[in-house]
Amino acid sequence: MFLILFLPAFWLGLFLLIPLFFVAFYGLSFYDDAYILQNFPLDWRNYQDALSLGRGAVVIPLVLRTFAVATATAVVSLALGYAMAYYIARLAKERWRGILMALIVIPFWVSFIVRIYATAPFSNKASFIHDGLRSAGLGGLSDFIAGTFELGTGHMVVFTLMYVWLPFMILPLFASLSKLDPQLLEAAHDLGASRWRAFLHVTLPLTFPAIVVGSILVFITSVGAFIETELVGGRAWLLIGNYIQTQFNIVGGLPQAASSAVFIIVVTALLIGVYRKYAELEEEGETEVRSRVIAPLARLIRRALGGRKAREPTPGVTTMPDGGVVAPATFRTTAGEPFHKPTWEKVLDTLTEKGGKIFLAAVTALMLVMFFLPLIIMAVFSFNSEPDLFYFHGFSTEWWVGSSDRDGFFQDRDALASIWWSFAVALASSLLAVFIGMFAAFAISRYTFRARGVLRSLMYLGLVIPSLVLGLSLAVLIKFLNDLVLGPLSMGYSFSVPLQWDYGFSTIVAGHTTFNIPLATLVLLISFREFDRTLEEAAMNLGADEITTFLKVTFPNIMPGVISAILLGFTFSFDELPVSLFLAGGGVVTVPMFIYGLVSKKILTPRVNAASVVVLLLSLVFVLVTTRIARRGGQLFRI
Amino acid sequence: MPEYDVEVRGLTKVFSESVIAVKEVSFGIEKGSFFTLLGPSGSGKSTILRMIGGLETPTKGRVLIGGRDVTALPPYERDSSMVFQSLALFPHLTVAGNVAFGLRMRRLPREAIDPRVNQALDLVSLPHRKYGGRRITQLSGGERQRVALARALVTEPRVLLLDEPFGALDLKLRKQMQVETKKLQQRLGITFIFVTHDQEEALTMSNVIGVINDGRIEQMGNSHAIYEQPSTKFVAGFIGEANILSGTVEAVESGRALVKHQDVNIYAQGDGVAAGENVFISVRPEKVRVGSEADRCENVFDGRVVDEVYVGLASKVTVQLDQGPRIVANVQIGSIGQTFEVGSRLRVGWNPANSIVVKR
Repeated sequence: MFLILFLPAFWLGLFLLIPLFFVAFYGLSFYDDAYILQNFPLDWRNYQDALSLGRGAVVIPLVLRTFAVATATAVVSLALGYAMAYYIARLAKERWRGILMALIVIPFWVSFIVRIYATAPFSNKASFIHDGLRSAGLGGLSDFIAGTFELGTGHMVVFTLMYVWLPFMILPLFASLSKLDPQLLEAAHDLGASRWRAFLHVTLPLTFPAIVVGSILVFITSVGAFIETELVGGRAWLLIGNYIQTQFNIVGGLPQAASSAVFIIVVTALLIGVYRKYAELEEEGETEVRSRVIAPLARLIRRALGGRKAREPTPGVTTMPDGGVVAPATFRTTAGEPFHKPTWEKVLDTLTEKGGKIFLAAVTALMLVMFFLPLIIMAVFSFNSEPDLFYFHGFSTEWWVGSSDRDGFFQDRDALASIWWSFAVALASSLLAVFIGMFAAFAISRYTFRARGVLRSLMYLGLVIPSLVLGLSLAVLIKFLNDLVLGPLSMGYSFSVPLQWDYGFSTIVAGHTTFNIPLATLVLLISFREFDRTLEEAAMNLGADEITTFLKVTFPNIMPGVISAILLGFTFSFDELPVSLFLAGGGVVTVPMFIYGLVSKKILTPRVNAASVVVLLLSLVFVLVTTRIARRGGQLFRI
Repeated sequence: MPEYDVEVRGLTKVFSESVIAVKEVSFGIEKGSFFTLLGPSGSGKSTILRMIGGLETPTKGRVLIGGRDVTALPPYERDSSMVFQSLALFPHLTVAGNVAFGLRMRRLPREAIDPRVNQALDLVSLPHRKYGGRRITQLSGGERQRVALARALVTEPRVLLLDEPFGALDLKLRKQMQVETKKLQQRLGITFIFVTHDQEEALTMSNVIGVINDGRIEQMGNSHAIYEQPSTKFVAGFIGEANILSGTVEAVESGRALVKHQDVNIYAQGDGVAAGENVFISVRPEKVRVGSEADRCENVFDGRVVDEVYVGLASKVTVQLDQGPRIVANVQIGSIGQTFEVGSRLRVGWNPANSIVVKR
């Protein structure tokens, strides 16, 4: 029991939980006059600066702006995500459902750096798209698109974050909506609720946990965003994440980076509790939180909003002393027309009845076009004969295989090396994560123990924590180990060279494994739960001991879960950028890092498109394989 | 023409070319009656109910409630309420919240809602004081059943539709709910349309039963008529047990028909049949006499016992007649003081009035 728990608890404790405290700790450090980082005496000035509201305050305005942007992103994503999830889960034909969900998930698994890069021809007014629209007499549409996708504006930042993280909203909503018993809606209609009122009074309350879960995911991810804003936000719309990353990367900025990262950590920690409550509610099919903290809070809010709480009806007015009830003649007091509605309600009924489905289908179709059109255009432009991303000049494969003028993608050693590194990192981290996650899932599904709640919370933390924080905290942990543990120790044992954990392959794998473990655990938990335990009892009854039973009976039966967990982790790791950025070193560059390097340095040629297409195709393959394997349990949609 | 509370005319539902669930069904239900649609699963009975409630759109035909054509109206504008098979109680609402739902949808003021919720909960013996605040998950199966009834009744519908609502209950509770529902219907005096595949349930509860098979109404009538005078072979076989023999009418004389089944001559009811017709004869096992009692009957046959099953108060004896067919007889234990050993000889007999002629 203890042995089973040791590995996952050790890993998540060391690489997920403890580093967060080190971030807080390094927020108290300072650089001395010789530019050497000192941890003692504790220096509270960084926190004072971060919390200051004075004239020169930097952090608080950034934090406020970040929260505003994240809130807006969550709201926009909720509206769009709900519309799409509702259409797919409840209105689309059954056989379309799986295809539509796959179409939602595929772009999600393409590295977001690629997806944002692909939208460039839409935001640049001098591109074939806008020329085409103008010549087709759709100058208005062209202006609208250029206005919406104008770089350096707040709405573009919100749009991009929504664009990239929308599946976080759709997946839980879809799961929740497809679980909803259609008879409940029929009952609501039968009791007099028109479409929109049945939605308001039945669907919405029953999917509330999923709404909370999706919103928190999108909100926290947006709070920790920095690459997205760097690419589209311009100077005016940088967020706290950009500040933290820049501070971290410049000499002398670490204390500032750490102290302001504590803001994100605190917000994440606060939301984790709420997230866990609602995620578990959703799992159990419950709708109401029975928590000592949240329930009274919700009641308070409801009361503040004007006494919407269902008042207890005054009891026993019509009960007669002998327990009898009213006579049949008086029971039916209304007759003929069931009830009368105001005109506005009739209009709304007709609108939702006739137009609702078309509207939701249009929203879904539009979003899918927005997801895929840029990717397709990007792929086509990798065959452009000129170094131009906005006008197509002719077909050429030179960006792929090279020509006398220029090297192609396949001749670019850095590019090929990055693919190799990405594979290595993804393979190592996904295998390691599944290995560790198996212990965790086994322990959580089989035993009840006091630390189970803690372990589950750690899982949710790992799932929800922004990559920015994870990357930064691990970098800080490694710095701590090198400076204050390994360094002094090796000096103490008089090594010729101080022993150090260098940034590079191992650090990136450590980071990726950390975010892959919760993912693997959740997927495997489903497998363990669906596994019929009487099979184990039968095996033991037939003479197999525990370990043989696990290897010969349990493991083969959860194999589909194991494989889809590996593939899921592999894809996530392959596409991952922010954590890698914090932990890279020693010449290790992954594909997303390679693309990011070119994009952020504005070295934009169709070769970048070619690299992006490679990422796109690989992701596509993984998605297809995973869906195929996971079809049995449908794990894909339960992330 | 009588004034019907609920009427369907030529109702047809085609799900796909191969699946025609309901075929040209027409019937009228008088106000205040307990009408049951009885049929095997997949016979289309639930589809008919759902079309009356507006949850399914008919391919053809019309639905009238209270004389008003409601075919084109959505469920929320019909004067009917449904109790669902799964009950479909809202898990996010309390008992009182569930019952109040329909009234809230009608935008009644709270002062009007509260007393009616109380009244409806009293009606199903779930006093509000004790049950109103409970959550659905905290209720037993029977209690949920009552909440579903109260929720459907609180809106004072003209007609209550019940779609196999007792399916999930155990036998004892089921019987109890049957009695209570019947009482409730009599007290309220509104029309109930009940769907079930359980013939016993249908026979005990209904004023009128419509037996459905393969999307068509086979027979409509009260329990007695359905049981004693089945008009089709399906009804004879589906309601209760029956020995069904096919044959040809040889002659009709003085109210009796002589029907020839293989080499066996059987006297049967002679109303409305003519010589030369191909018919079925249905004989209820409890109408079959055995041993010395059989001697007094007009149809008397000798045979050998091939099977005996003891079923409490009666014994179910299968007899292989010497002339061919097998006949099942229900024999009251004690009435004859005899055991039926397999292989022993036994005489069976019944009267012409008990061999009912069914034309198809």
